[in-house]
Amino acid sequence: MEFQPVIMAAGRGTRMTDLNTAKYPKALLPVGNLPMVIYPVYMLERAGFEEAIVVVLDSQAAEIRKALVGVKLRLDFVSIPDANYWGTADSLRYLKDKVKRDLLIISCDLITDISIHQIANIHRKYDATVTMLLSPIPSQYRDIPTPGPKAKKRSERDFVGFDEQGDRVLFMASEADLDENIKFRKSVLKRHPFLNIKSGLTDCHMYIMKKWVVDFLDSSKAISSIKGELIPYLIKKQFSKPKASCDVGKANMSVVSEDVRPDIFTFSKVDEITEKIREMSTWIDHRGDMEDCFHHNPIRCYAHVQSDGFCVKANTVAAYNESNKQIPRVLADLASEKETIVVHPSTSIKGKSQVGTDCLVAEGAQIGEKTSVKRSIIGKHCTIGDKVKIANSVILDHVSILEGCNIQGSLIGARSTVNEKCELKDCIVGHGQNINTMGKFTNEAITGIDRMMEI
Amino acid sequence: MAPKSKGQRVELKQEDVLQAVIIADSFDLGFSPISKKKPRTLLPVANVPMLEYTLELLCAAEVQEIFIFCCHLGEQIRSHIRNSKWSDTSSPCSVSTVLSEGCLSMGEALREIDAKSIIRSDFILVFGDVVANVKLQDIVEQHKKRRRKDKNTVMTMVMKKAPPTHCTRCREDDIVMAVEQPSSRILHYQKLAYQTKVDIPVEVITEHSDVNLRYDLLDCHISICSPQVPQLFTDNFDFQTRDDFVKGILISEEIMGYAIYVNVIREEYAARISNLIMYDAVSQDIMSRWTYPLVPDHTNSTESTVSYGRHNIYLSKDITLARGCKLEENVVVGRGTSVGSNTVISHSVIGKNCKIGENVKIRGAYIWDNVEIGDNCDIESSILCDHVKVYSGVTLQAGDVLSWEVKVGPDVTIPKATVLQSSPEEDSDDFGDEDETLDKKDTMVESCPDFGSRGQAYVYSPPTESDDEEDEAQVHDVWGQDNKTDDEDELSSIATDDQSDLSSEGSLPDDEKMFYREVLDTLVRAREENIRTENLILEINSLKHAYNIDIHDLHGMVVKAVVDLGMKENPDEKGIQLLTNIKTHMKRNLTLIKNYIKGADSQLDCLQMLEEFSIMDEQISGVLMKLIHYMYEDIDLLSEQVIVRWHKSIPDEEGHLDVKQQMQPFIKWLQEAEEESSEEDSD
Repeated sequence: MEFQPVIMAAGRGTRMTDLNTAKYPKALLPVGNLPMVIYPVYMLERAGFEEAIVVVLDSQAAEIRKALVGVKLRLDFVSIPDANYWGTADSLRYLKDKVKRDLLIISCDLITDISIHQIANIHRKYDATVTMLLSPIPSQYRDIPTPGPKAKKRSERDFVGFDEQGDRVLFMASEADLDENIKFRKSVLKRHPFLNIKSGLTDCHMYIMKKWVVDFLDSSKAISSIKGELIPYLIKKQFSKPKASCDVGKANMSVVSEDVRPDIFTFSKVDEITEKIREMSTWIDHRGDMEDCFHHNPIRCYAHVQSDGFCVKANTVAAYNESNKQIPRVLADLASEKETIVVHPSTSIKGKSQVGTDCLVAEGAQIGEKTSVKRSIIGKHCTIGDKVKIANSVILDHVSILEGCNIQGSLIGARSTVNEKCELKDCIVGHGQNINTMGKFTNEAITGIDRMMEI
Repeated sequence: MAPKSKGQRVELKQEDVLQAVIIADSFDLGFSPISKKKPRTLLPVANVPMLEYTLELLCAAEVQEIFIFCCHLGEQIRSHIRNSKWSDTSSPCSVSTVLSEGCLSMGEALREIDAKSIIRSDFILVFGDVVANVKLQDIVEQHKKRRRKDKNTVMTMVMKKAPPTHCTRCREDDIVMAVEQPSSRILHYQKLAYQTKVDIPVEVITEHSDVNLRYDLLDCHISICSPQVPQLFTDNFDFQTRDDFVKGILISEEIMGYAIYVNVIREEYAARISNLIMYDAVSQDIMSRWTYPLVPDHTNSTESTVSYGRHNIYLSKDITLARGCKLEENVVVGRGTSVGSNTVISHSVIGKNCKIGENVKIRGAYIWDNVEIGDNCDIESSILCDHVKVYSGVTLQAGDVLSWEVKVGPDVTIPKATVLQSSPEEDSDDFGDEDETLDKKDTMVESCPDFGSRGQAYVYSPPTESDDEEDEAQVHDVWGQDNKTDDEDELSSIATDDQSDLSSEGSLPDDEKMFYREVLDTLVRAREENIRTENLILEINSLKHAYNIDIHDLHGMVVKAVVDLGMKENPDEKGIQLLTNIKTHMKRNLTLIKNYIKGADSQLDCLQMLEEFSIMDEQISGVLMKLIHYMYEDIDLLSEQVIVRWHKSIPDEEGHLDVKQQMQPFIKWLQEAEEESSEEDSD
């Protein structure tokens, strides 16, 4: 394979602290009763990759390694120190010596059935610097009730500007960074007179990038995250021209205290053969003027917009919950056969209980009498008492739900206990919580002990 | 047409009548002085008056009722229509002229149309100088469909997709639009003119999920309007042009809710002849048949038939072509014209009854009716109006315009882009296209220099538009002069939130400058207020932290500041005088400098800064060697090893090399001194 895959599994889950990601690695949160990180691994396997680098935190390395035992992919675990709070770009910099070819970077929270070749094709076609995967946010996604308190929705929208073919990314801005006016240069508009700006897209954190980008990262230490800094920087730099080459030479030779850092264009050199090929080829990426292919832009960013299929990025509680709900539908395409069994044979379900076909029940779960489970996921070794109703909910591992509870649209963290006759609607219950008898909650996040005292 | 009556059935019928309004005036001076004598819309393009193209377009779109709104020299248009096929009983549509001599803008024209209440349904609004083969029925149909859905649809603008460098894109209306997808609704409309940046309000993209920002559109100046458009012009009496209208509607969009849409055509041809450059471009397109079926051999409005031959040669009847004359390609020759032998013509239009002599070269010229051209002339990209006489041996260069009845020659060369008219006096009645308000002084008419012994020609220079503030941003192209392409500024990104560099990189140089200024000020203040050196050092140190200055830069800048102080005191002094000044300051601030310049590294910093400084400043460069000598010998600031090391490290580059050479004698002296001392040691 021409690409070298890297799975970024060192996230701290700062956007889902309610699930106690500080102690429990985010990469191992179960989606469809499988640890999240397994999905990117399977995706790479499906695409025919044989090895991959997995970036993990020092403290979580052992756990994640254990969870991934038995996969076909040869995994090379690289652990980064916990203390430094490194971003994704920092991790890449750390990996520098291992990078031999162009990189394929996947975040561990990406769950999709998209086939990698679609992105790779765009990357190859345009000889891109970076190609990313974008996915439209389905409209119903925004309206679904999310468990937990109804926080005001912080706008995290990104605006992405495409060229006429819809492949090249010319512009990217997040809503928070925008001023009253957006300025565009006329000279750029001259070369790209058609700019299609879309706002309903999310970056899936899957990138294919040229090897030299890592070399560039090594020289500019200020960049710490790929999504937040590196990608916007590359997109912006697409239209600037490299300084005259003699300038660069000068900067390198003089020992003067001025900034001797070589700029990004010294890294993006195209080898002679490629240049010759491009010169002789009749293929051109644009119409309307007589300029050469790519207008001599050494940096080019492209994107593949996923149009059909399944694609969720489980990096927030809402998205995590949603991915769990959707997973039974697509699990068969994403995981191996033995992992896609709806109800594990080792579960014991007592009489008169109903478990819908749209549910997943993991091994060792015990379900009591007259209990109904609909559109829900029940984790490993859960104990569910009699006359419990569970609908639209996600129950993580080792949860005990006692008799007569009614749980709807909620997310219950691992090792929690829900005592008798509780009613939970659209709630998040954190890791290891104990909910007292007859507790009634709606739209709440139950995470700390002090919360429990209120009842 | 059906008489107006209030019956239900008649009203239904009226809905079906497609109306069009032709504004047969451009309200600008794009064609003056030619348009003084004849309105622009009647000027010939490929030997057919412009207005005919517009009428053919509307006729093909099955428009039944056409109103031609004429202002300047409207009577001529009226009589032209009266004598044309459009007034025949067989004419497929009724064409009527609306005359209003005093009208000064398109806004006024539409207000008058509103007052006359002749518009009953959706209508096509078009300028009389548009050449197009667009299928308007479909666009009108789409407009109607949109209006049925949303009553507030007021206009659909017809645009053609054309890249920014397209030759029929008029630089005077260079537009950028933001269009919502998939509705094609216009969200933002901006004329660019000389601006290098485009400002898009952020709401345009935040409130719509899919927006196209388009700079690849050519304005066809054809718009499908809803019946309320004239009314809106009346309500907003400050709307002068369609641009005003579009901007006004977009700004008040939230209040009034009116919407404007765009219809982008790809295949068809459309362009407006708004100035001489466009006249040239469109004429060539007509000859190359881009405008089919509007081509010279198809326009049946001319009385004579035209035959079409290979290489796009269009010949009328009764033409005399002498032996050896060559019509190369894209040539139209009108009836009764004779061409002399060995004459070569290409990419040109020649009108009726012209006489062209022998050995004449004509390229890209537009020669109207009854023109006489003598032998051995060379004519390139010029316009020669009716009854122009060019005597033998004349050279016309690109962009020359010879207005009605001008005579030039013999044996002269007319410089590029010269506009000539036959009489110096201004007739205020038919001044330009419209501007009767401008007084005569504005149009400067110089009496003719020598345009040949038999010449009768006066230079016309267009009026200066000092009083027209709103036109400031407009581009005025001059035919024949190369269009200056805007500077391809080195841009950092498509969206110019500059300083897109990584935060640390981008802000550093500024900080350094600020820091340096602060240090300089502090030193001046220290001397004035007699601040003690320890406090001064403290102050500079705190500045260093405030501006986050590198320690190496700090060393250099402190020394530079002290040297600078000496220079600033008496900026005119040079040589010894300057050196003495600097020395005094050095001596005074010696404790300060010594605090910073201690080890070899800091000395090197100091020397490098001096090196930079001397490259930037000639005065310093003059005293550099002596200054370093002083710093070495008298105040013992620099050690000789560091100086030698620094000298070796100076790169062999422009500027730096001078410093190196300048320092050579001193270094030599240093080394000799060293050798001597070492010799002494060995003794």
